[in-house]
Amino acid sequence: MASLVYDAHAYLGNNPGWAQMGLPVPLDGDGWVEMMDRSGVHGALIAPQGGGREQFFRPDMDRIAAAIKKYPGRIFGMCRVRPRSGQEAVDELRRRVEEQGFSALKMNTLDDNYRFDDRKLMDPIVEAGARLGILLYFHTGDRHGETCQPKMIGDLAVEYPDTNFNIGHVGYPGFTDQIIPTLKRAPNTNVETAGMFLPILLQNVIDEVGATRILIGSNGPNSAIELPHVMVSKYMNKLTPEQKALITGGNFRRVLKLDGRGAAAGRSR
Amino acid sequence: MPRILDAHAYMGADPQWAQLGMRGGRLDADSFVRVLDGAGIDGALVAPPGIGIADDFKNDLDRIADGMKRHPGRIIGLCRVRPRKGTAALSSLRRSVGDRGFSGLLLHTSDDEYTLKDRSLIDPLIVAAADLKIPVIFDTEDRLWASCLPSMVADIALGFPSVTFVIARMGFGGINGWPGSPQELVPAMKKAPNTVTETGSVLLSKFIQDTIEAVGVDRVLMGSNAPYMPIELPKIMILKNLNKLNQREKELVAGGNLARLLKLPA
Repeated sequence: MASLVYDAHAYLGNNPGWAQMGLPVPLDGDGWVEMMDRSGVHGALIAPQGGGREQFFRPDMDRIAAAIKKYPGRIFGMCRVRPRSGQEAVDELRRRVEEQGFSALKMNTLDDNYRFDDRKLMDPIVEAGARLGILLYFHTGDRHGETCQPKMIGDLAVEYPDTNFNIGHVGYPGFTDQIIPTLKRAPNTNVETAGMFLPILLQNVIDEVGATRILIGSNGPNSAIELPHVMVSKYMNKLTPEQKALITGGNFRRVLKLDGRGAAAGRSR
Repeated sequence: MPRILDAHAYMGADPQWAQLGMRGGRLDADSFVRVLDGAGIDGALVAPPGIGIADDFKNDLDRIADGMKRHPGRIIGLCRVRPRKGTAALSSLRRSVGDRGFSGLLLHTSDDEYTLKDRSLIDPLIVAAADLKIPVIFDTEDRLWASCLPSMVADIALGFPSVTFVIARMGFGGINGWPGSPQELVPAMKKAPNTVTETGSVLLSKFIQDTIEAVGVDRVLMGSNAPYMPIELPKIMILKNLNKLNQREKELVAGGNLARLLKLPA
């Protein structure tokens, strides 16, 4: 039986731009499952889309909560918070995880005009995420990449060795050179491939740190959700079938502890 | 189903390609056709990779010429030259097109560290392309976006109305988080009606749909940037995910427009 494919970076909610791909707006759990079924993807870790910033992402997180309930094992939620709201953000994270089954925290410095090395802002949220035992996901790279560099995630991760940290987008573009040093320094970090379709760069990372540290992500529906697993499965042919299966799904299951294993990335293998 | 054609790919030798499982970093014609078959793509416009600059792309142009003979209609040659080579560049272009059947000229500002404003360098090659009745592809690549802006392509295109100019990678600057502005592409294409664009490296569905709506579906070509990026990804994006387009429009982007541009059989 083929391994299940999981997408570690996706979006749901009320983004009018998605009508340009012929998608329903708002895009909800039903739309996502239909999209996954026709793309060969079993499950996805889904965050509210960035346009919901003004509403603190709450309407879209409610949609995600409904989707988690309706499609257990296929829709996994990322709670997106604005750290400048302080205790309110911490409380929201705790409520989404404990009451609604969200699996991860998502942070993007664009959401509140901050930096990942602003520890006064970051520490309460990261501490709460670590206590909840969830995956912590951080956007890196892009035009605002200076505020969200992979090495900043490494600095956080070494202080929470039992928590999994995902470095989104492989630092692309602009900060991919920080990826290998960061992954080596903090064994509880992983990278996620959304928006980055350069298989040579990914293979270089794998050669240095192993195939257990990379998860596919699509950035879907902004990019077609099928693309990363086609890239890994058909076009990264230095990898063994076992390594491909880890990258397209096995690592996702480990990081989200779907098989009951509790250890962080670097400690489980 | 009309032919599926890739407007932006590479063939030849690049040591990096070993990381993709290509022995010795070589992608020869037979291997390339196997890649096309595996992806369900009928043909591709292929150029030598940038690393071939060491021999002025000669070895890889030879490989492509051989591939065109062995796989006519599937491997379609794109001649890459260094403008600073002057008459040698012109000779390479004329021989590639006139004697070997290449179908277009690729200019990439990284090859000779120039900009598209260096008209004394570029214009002799454009004059030759006009004479040879082939399109000119300007690669608007990530790191070098400022040297090859879509507006610069438009300025050149206005001076050569009989030539079709391809703004490769949709201008790239500003797209995918790179420096630059994604607002350059559409005004440039509106200004110069003899320009088209090509999707290599751009897998953002909304950006492509917005561009199609602004300039028309007949002015966007599917390109992959293969093998640096998997050849199959733009095909999946266009045929399965750009679902505001009807089937006829998808087929135009996925191959029909390139076939028309190169006067290939439908």
